[in-house]
Amino acid sequence: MRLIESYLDEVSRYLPAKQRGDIVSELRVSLEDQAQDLAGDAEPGPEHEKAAINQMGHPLQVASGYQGQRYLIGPELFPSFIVTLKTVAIIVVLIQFALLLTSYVTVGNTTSLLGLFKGLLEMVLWSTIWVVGVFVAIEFSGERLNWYKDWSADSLKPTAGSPVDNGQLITNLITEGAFLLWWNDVLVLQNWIPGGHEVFSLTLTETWTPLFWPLNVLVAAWFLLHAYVLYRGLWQRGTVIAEVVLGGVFIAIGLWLISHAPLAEVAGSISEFSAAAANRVIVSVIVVIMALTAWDSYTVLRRLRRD
Amino acid sequence: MEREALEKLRLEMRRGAIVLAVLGQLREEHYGYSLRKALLDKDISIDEGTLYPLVRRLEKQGLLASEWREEAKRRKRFYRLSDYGREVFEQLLEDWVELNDSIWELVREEK
Repeated sequence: MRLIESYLDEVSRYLPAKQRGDIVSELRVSLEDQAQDLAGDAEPGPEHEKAAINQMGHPLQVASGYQGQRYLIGPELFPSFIVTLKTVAIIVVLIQFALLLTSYVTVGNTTSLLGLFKGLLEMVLWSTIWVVGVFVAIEFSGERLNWYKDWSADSLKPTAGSPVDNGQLITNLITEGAFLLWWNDVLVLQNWIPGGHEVFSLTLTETWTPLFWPLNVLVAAWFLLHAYVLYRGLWQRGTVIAEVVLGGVFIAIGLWLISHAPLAEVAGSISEFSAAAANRVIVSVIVVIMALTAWDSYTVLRRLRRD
Repeated sequence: MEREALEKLRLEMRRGAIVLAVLGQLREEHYGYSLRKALLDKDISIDEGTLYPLVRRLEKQGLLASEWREEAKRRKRFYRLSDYGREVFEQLLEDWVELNDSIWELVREEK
């Protein structure tokens, strides 16, 4: 019965220590009886043991049957885990932008694009670890069983709307946040351009000056609107109207800008990049952003009308 | 894919039925292997990896009583229905019969 003993040793490695002795004894009896049945009236040999073991299956599979089903975050908690994670991620992004703005206003600190993403990534990573930790603790404490007891239909609020496209909203939030930081000089892009100031620099013309506050207010309003819609998970009548109005204002500003070129001045070595080319690029970028804005508003409107 | 879905549904359906079969069989005393063979004799095949942990779970829930005894010079753990287990079994059996009747009625109406 050497083969059976080796098999039981293997199974027992994965068993809970408290029940190990009992379970192994039961499995031994079962395997021996099975081998005896296969051998008939003869003494069971290694081939009978092998057949009995093969029928019982992989040691880990056998042992796992005694452990019950265990999760780090089980199916009852998982939906709330995802919602919490999303909410925390939005809050973290908002806090990060607020901190950067405060740091610029009070101390005059600026940051690079890489620094912005590094900071965001670190904060999102740490908050994810905390959220996972809290939910694992809830799962193991057994508290999850009490979560849904007190629920009643009274807590429901009448809502109507259409589901959001998370990817689109997150892209919008990142773009708007980065724009706000750049527009307010917190995010410095010059360091990012190959060659830096010595070779080439690009500055915006006076045309942009009257737009400092209008663009700040417009993009900040967009940022808050998209954060709210992402949190709610729904486009509703009010938020759709706000989105379309903000989109319209942006397109109007874009048209005004295009009609007031030049929009940028180029200094330094410009052998490969002329001022006219720079202006054409900026105008093209504005036109593309206007088109994307119009498309965003259209898709949101269409989805709401369809629902 | 369709085959896989069928297997999953079949597995889910069998899960509850297996408990009833085990409780029904343990109205007589059995140890692990003899229980499996007794069920197999009635065309109910349950692999050991499912049956033995299930028996332990039912015992933990108080539906089965067990005792270690020596038989043919080997220590074996014998299981049988506890009083509480008998009550639960009878109730489950009643539910099973009712459900079975309802489903038959439903299928007959469809035909």
